[in-house]
Amino acid sequence: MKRLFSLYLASGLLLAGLITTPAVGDTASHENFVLIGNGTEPKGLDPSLVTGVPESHILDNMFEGLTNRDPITLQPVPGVAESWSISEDNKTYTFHLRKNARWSDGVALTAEDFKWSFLRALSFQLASPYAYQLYPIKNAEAFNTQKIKDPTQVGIKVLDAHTLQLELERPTPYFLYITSFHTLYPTPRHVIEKHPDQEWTRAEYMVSNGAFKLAEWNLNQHIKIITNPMYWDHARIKIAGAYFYPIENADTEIRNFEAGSLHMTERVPSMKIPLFKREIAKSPNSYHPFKITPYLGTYFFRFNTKKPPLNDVRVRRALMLTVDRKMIVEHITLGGQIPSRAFTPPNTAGYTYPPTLPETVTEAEIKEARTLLAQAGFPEGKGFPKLDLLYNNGDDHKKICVSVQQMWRKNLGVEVGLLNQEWKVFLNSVHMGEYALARAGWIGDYPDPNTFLDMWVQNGGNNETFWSDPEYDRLIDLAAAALDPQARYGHFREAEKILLDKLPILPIYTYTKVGMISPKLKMLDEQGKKMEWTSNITQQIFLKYYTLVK
Amino acid sequence: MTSPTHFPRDEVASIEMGRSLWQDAVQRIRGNKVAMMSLCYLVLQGSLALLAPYLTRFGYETTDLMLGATAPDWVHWFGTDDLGRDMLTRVLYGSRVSLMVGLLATFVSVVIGVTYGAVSGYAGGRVDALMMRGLEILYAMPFTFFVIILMVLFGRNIYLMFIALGAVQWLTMARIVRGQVVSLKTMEYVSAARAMGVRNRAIIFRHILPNVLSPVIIYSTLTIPGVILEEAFLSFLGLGVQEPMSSWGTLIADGVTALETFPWMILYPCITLMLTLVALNFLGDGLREALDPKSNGD
Amino acid sequence: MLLYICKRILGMIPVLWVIVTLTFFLIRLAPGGPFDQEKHIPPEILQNLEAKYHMNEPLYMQYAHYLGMLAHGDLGPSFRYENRTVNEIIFETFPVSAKVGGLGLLYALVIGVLAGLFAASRPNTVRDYIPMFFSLIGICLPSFVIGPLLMLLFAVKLQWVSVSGWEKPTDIILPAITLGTMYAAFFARLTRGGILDIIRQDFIRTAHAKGVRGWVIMLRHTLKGGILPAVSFLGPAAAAMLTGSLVVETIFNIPGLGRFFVQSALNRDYTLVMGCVLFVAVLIVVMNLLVDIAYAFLDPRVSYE
Repeated sequence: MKRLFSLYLASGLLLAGLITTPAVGDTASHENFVLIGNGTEPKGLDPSLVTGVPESHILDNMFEGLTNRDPITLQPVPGVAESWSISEDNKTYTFHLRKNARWSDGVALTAEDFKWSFLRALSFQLASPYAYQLYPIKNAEAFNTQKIKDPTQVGIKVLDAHTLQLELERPTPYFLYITSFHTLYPTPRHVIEKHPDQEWTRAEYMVSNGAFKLAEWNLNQHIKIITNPMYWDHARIKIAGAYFYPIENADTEIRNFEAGSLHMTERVPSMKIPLFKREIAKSPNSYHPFKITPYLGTYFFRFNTKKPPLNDVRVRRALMLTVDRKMIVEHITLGGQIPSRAFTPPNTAGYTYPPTLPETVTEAEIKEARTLLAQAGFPEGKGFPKLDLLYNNGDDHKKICVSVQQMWRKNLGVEVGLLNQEWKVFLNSVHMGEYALARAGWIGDYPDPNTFLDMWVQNGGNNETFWSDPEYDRLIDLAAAALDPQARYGHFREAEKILLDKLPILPIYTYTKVGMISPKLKMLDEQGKKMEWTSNITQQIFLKYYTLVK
Repeated sequence: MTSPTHFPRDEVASIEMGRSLWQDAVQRIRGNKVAMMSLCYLVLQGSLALLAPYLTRFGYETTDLMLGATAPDWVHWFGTDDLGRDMLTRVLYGSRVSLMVGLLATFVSVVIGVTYGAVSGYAGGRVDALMMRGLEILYAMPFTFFVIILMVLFGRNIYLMFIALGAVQWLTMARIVRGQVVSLKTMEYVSAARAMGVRNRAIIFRHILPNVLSPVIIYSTLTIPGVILEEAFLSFLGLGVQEPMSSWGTLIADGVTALETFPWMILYPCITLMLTLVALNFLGDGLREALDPKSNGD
Repeated sequence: MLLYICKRILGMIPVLWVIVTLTFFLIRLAPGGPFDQEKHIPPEILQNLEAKYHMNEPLYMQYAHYLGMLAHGDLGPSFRYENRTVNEIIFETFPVSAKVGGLGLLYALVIGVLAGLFAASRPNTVRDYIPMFFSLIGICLPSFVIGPLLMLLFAVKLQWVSVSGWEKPTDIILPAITLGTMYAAFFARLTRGGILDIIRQDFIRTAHAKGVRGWVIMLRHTLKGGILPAVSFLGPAAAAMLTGSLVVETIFNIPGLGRFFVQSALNRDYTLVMGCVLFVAVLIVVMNLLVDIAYAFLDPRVSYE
């Protein structure tokens, strides 16, 4: 009995020792901090290295590139560079840096810093997956892939401490957008050399040059940024900073919002959307936090064009015709997504391909599709081999694939299997071409049709459909070399026509971003006047212009 | 009444006529009303699962996007999910996979776990130590990779799912059985049997196993719902049930996202699972009492 | 006993070595690698990345390299969390999981064992049925259902606690309950079964016959032998609870270790997977050792020589 008792006591003490209250440092008030649901824990915070959306939400507010962007139109506005000039041939950009540009530790920020950062981002030692963002710069690609070893041959020239000249490989109309992309943010040489590898991105060492600086980084808990008094435009900033919470569970995130512990969410679970839509319909004039905003991306399926019968364009077209895009966006995704009528999202930097693909499936589509299928040797779907539609877990992929499977069965008599794979296995299968049909999504790197069209050239890294067309490749090359914007868009249009005729892909819808925005969150315009929260097409967060009201 | 040097009456009896124990058990469980009712329910559940295609006029895969999620009514008794599929049909079809997974994977885990645990505990010494270290190694292996690799090597296969689930569940079972056996084998009647020259095999099967049955039955009835729910995770990894086929695990996992909006999507799969579990437990309790060599004296 | 404990601790080393070796090669069999992502990485850059993490070396070299690091107690850098080492991640997140798990375990043990005793004291009566019915509910409702239900009730509706996160002392409550409920149900049923088995044994009947009081018997004899199955379960249960649960930590957004067990596998974060596996292995070995020692305390006939 005594022994038993002592055993109980000992285990009780052990547990009591473990328990004590959660020793969490932060109980400080969140007064005047914007509280943001940020999806998932960032991989890192080195702007030259990261590739993800959660990382860019944070970095865009901690750093500033040569140029910055208008928070709504995304047009280039002065960043670290006060002004710039572009040569006649559109191949040389000269940036004039602010004399008062500083790092958050007070050290002066010069043109040398930019040169060093760009070369670091391109260095093979850093092995940055996004190094190709710098490829418009002359010899950048050759240096990155070690075809040339001499960094002085890369088109980056420091004219003086406050003047930087970049020479491009070829004219790049969206280059001033790239100079405000996080891979081209300056990184603090004086800190990185003292704390090499990724040590410099820890809260205790990290130095940045943007409107905010890192204050806390607790793994899977939060990242806290606070205002940076060294920032040239510091006077404009109205908030104290922001918390980014990596909340992976969408239901937890929205419940946090409902309990008032978030100002913005990363997403809205599609099951909740009908509820919000009803609330909006009931009182259309009052503020509702549920917001749908456009997003530069396309949801589509890939066809493996090597795999019979998908190597037959008639089969691909028949399958394309019988997917009811409108039904999918109105009854499954629910977030105001736009049925795809082409591959490039409408109004991508002023480029809209004329509506070509059918929005819904009517008798005419079914008839044409059946005829095509019969011509391809599968009358009423007879003899059509059982192909698998591959998808990964997450979001609404499962629901979309289940309903497309039903649409093909009903409209064509074609039986398609469903196959879900874990994310990395899925990527591997698509990359190795071990699939028949696979779901996919493409978010544009920059607002320009090029990011949607140059991926389909032969051996394009993101093609993965095994489709290629020499004429298509030629048109993309022509567009890249074109100086006149109208002529350039003309080449894109011709290329996209080929893409939509040959259909190595099945576009489904143009993404939107759905999220919750607290009524307390407002924005300031250039004159500092309050206005409603407004989004932009790349869903970038510009905390510099945010303000909180009671 | 008895002094520790005497054998309890039943044990003596079962040494002499091992069969009567099991015959007694059948008779005893027949007399247990609750257990018999539970058995009937489980049989009914099983036949409903088998006859599912003849019982409903909806296909488990037939979507009706225009309809969407509707609350239960006279047409759709359990309502429909957000793709407009009939929930009753999906629960019925789901019971096929789930009952099979629950019973087979648990069976696998009982067979391996009890044998392993009994041998380890009874042998003792080095063998025991070695077998227990083996168990610890298996415990530590990353399950997610195990599943991914199984799937990649052998493709999607429902039998793999039983192996994957059973292979994990037997570990704890083995620990529990071993713990019981270590304690039981020092019991007087076991030493006595050994002294009388009864063979190890006979001792394990006649004297030790009947006495570990109680925790085994309890633990396996507890394992069944665990396995049924775990199946949803395997489906997530790509092994297991594939859409549009349903299972209780995936129905509950999907339903939880509709907790506030379409509660019937989670309510009915949960209730069905719970009823099955209640029945299994009563049956398990009945079995345990029936097989318990000591319950005669009550 | 001391000798036994020393032997077991020494025995850990080969066990851990086998685990390390098996896991090291197993995880590299799975398709996909740590650098795979949706947007294609040019092959040259991929080569650079692999060189950076020594992944271009032959496998046996990588294995030797890893063992060398382990010998120095270094679990290596994480692939996914770029500025953290695996040691730091485990060190930072295990205390969180251990707190939630510890409280959950305490809750499960107290509620579970008490409910089991209560039920066993009057088998097949209302006093038995009610706790056993609740234990069935606890088993049927998985944590991914209980968690959101508790969250909706106590955080969204009543607003007694925060929805999620790890900022306030009260943030531990809901996760611990969610985690502990299933285990409580297990303990309740295992305890009840164990007690009922013992009650029927002769020495208990003897004690009754001798007129010893019911609760004294319960404490002195019945409990000791009767919780044996529950104690066996305690080893794996404690290891599982203290290392955290993916579901609970994701639902309540807790910065614990549990979510890394599955996530590191999904990310193919090889070093973090190895770190987690090793850590949990040590914990399991230690827990099993404690349980085996507990056997000896509970049952004087069990001896380790």
